[in-house]
Amino acid sequence: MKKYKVPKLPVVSIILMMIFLVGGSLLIAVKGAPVYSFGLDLPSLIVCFLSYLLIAGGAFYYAFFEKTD
Amino acid sequence: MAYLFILIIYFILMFLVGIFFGKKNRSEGDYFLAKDKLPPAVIGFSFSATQMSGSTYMGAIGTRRTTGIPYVPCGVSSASAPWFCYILVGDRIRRLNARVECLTMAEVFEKRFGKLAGLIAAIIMLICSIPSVTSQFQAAGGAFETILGIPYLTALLIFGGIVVVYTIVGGMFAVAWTDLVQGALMIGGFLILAPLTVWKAGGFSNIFHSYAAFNPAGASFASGGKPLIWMISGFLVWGFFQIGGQPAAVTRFLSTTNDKTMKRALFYSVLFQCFIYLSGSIIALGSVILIPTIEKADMIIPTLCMEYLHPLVGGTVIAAALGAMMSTVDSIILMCSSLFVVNILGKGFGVKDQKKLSFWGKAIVVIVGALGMLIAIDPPDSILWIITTGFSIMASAFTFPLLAALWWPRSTNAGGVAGMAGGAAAAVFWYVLSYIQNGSLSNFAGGWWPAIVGSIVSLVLVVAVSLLTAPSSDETLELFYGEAAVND
Repeated sequence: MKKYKVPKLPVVSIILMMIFLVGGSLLIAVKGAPVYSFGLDLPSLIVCFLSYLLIAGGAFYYAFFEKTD
Repeated sequence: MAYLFILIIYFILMFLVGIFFGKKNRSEGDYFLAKDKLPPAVIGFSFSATQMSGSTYMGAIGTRRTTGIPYVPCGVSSASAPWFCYILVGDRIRRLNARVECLTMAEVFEKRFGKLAGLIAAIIMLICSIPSVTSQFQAAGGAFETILGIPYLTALLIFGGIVVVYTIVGGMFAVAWTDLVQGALMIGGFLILAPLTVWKAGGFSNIFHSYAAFNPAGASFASGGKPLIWMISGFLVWGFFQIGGQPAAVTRFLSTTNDKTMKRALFYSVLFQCFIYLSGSIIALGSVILIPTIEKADMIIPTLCMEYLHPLVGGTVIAAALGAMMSTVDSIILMCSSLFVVNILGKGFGVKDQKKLSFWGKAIVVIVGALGMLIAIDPPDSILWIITTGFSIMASAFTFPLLAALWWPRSTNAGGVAGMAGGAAAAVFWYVLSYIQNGSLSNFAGGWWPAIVGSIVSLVLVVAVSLLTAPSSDETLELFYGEAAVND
């Protein structure tokens, strides 16, 4: 049988996606984090509001820099 | 009166767009895809406007208000959906589409896994589209009732009638360009409401402290509002599993064969969705100060518009919300039309008469719209959880078979079919089990979302059955993975 080449994976983008998924899941699992004066703890702040920066940054990187076949 | 005026102007505009673009349709490819005739912004906004719907503008905001921080990651995950979809699926589909004509996602499955796979995919998509259409009609009916005082049933008929007519007349050109208009309105609407909410609520700190007092169980991930597995499942489901869960949105990848267009479209999609979901979270949490009590949490946006905005401005925001619902409904029913005509009538029954195909294409638009309206008359649950049902079953059926089809040469026809059928069956089973245990479409057995359970089953079946069965034909593998398949 002829061997077919698996298409080249967008490695950097996949790493960023894994950071988002795994990192986000781990942060959700954190217990006992202190609540800051503005009313949120760090895991909630990062996952619920700051992670948009990772998403937008990851999309920007893929759109303008990621090399695919 | 002002609300009615704005809405009438808006609907007239959508009709005109439908008629104008209806004249551009020259072929089946134009009607269902507008292939290579749409700029990146239109594709990007169309993908996002299809994915984001009445549940984004109303249902999910209502759920974020009632559930709090434990549900907010679902919105973040939804914002990441174009990121996953474009990169893991979009580029591969684009390349395939450059070499072979595919009008539907079911055709992609058929070309990779055979006729049976295409037929199963078409049937699952058709059936699971009904809950999605229903939830949008439900949202629209509720919005009309809240704002204009029009009886719910009348509102259903008006909204449904308008969407069905401009979809029949305009096809994908109308759908995609109205998505751009509706997307712009959605951005405009949230650009007004989000800062207004922060201002009226007294700032972010006041919002978070007030929310913690309003709903202590929803103040953080550790507050005990939802089981840990429920929160993590939701976070995973709404982003990555959009690959399989939203075929109407993923169909946009069949609209272009150009690499640069696709990448630019991704960027527009992501920015759009990040803005909408971030704003939605702020509005949802801040609404506990601005509207301390509300009968239906799904109606936060219309209620905020009526209480805090000038009618002309509020009417525009409501039009944007209706635009979100319209853009989802029109894409789904157009997808259903193409699935029935291309995959079931054309490939399944061998019908070639163009007049018959055209008739049934339009008839399906009416039938699916009518079915959605019928169920929406007395819907079983909130907007968000109805749409989640159809989404979860499709995510379970299609995510891993689609990834295997595009990235794994060793996946076989039998593996693809087993993955689809098994994944869908597992998700349905988990819903039934959850309903028997908890009497609800949102409290899942063990906290596990059905899309997670179904997808795990699907993945196991795709891999195991593929390894135990003969590889796909050389012709198929050459199409997907041959030298031409990996080099532009």
